[in-house]
Amino acid sequence: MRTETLRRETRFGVILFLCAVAFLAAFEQTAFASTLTVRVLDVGQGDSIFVGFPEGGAMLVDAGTAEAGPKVVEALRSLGAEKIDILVATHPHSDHIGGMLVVLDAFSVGKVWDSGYVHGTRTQQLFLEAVRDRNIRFGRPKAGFSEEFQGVLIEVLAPVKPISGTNSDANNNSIVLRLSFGEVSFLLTADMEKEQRRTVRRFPETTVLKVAHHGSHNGTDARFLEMLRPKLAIISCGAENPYGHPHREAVALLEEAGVDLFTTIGGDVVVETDGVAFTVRKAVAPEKPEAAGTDPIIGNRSSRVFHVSSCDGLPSEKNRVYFKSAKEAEKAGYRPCGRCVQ
Amino acid sequence: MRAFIDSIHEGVARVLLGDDESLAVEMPLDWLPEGAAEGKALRVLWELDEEETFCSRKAVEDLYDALGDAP
Repeated sequence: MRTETLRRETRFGVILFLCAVAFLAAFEQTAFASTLTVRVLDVGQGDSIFVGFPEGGAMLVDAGTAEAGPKVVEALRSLGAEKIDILVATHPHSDHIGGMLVVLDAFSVGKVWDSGYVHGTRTQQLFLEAVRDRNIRFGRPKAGFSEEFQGVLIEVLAPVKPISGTNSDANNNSIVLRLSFGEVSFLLTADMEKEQRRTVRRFPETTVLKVAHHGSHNGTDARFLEMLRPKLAIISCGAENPYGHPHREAVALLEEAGVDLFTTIGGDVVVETDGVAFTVRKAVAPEKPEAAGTDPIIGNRSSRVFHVSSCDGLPSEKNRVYFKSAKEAEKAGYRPCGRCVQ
Repeated sequence: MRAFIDSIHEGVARVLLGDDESLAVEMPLDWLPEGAAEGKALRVLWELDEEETFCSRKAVEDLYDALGDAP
């Protein structure tokens, strides 16, 4: 009788142990796979934000300028992205959609969300044609649209309604996204200015703010920050840009609100969260490609001509764009230097 | 507007714009009129092109119609 009880207890203990092991393994797997990454890429003066979802999905919000396109592709590849599930064109300014063609050439895209704002540039036409030619699902989501993707709630807060007659209607018809993962949320404001801000009745409290319009004075105000109460703010802008971004009025407001502030000058800003807490770090990019043993291809961002590094007609450092190969440069719309490139 | 051809190298002209030459723009040499050479001044006239504006907007509107709207 006692032996039988012991056997039963032992069997029960083994089952309990196995259940515990299985539970811990499942928990560990869930914990490992439960990170949301929002990486604001250093694309100079422009916007491009990579979102890595907990189950490996990817979203790209804007693709920077045409010159930055290859850098965006390289960044996404280095992050292990094989496909872009959602590609967002927040508005048609060239510093947001200029890099889209290179991105569309490099990755398969699940669907495209676009502001629907008619701008008319060749850049916009070529982007929309590329989406059409690839038969990619296409939509113009408005405020109120939401979708849950891999445990992350994606909400569209703007555009609420078409806006016209402002200094920049393209900016004021931007797609503004809110991502929520557990208790941590992100507000991606594109280039929203005050006129569009006023159309949104209420902005929910937000953990991380991608500051609107590269830190322009028209992208932020005190009331907006009071509603958001962000803990962290990220400004995407280039060093010594001609607009003076970030404007000191915007920086002062963020500092007064006690918000930790990062910019993309000199490197990507990476925020990772498990839905409870978050970490932020600056990923400083190497100044030149570390292609040991290979001759980098150097493009001139003004003339859009590319050279080998031994050419005596290299552009000034500030005008240089580096490519891994002549093919990559040509893909980005650059033409070879007649003297140095055979 | 005043413009001045500062340099020509590898078929690329560097043109300085404005009275104070504060903006330098590099462009293919074949965009410039015949006879363009380093040290030559240019006269630049900017005009609104309403017809091209209309056509460009129409092209984008047609693309939006073709693409539909299914987020």
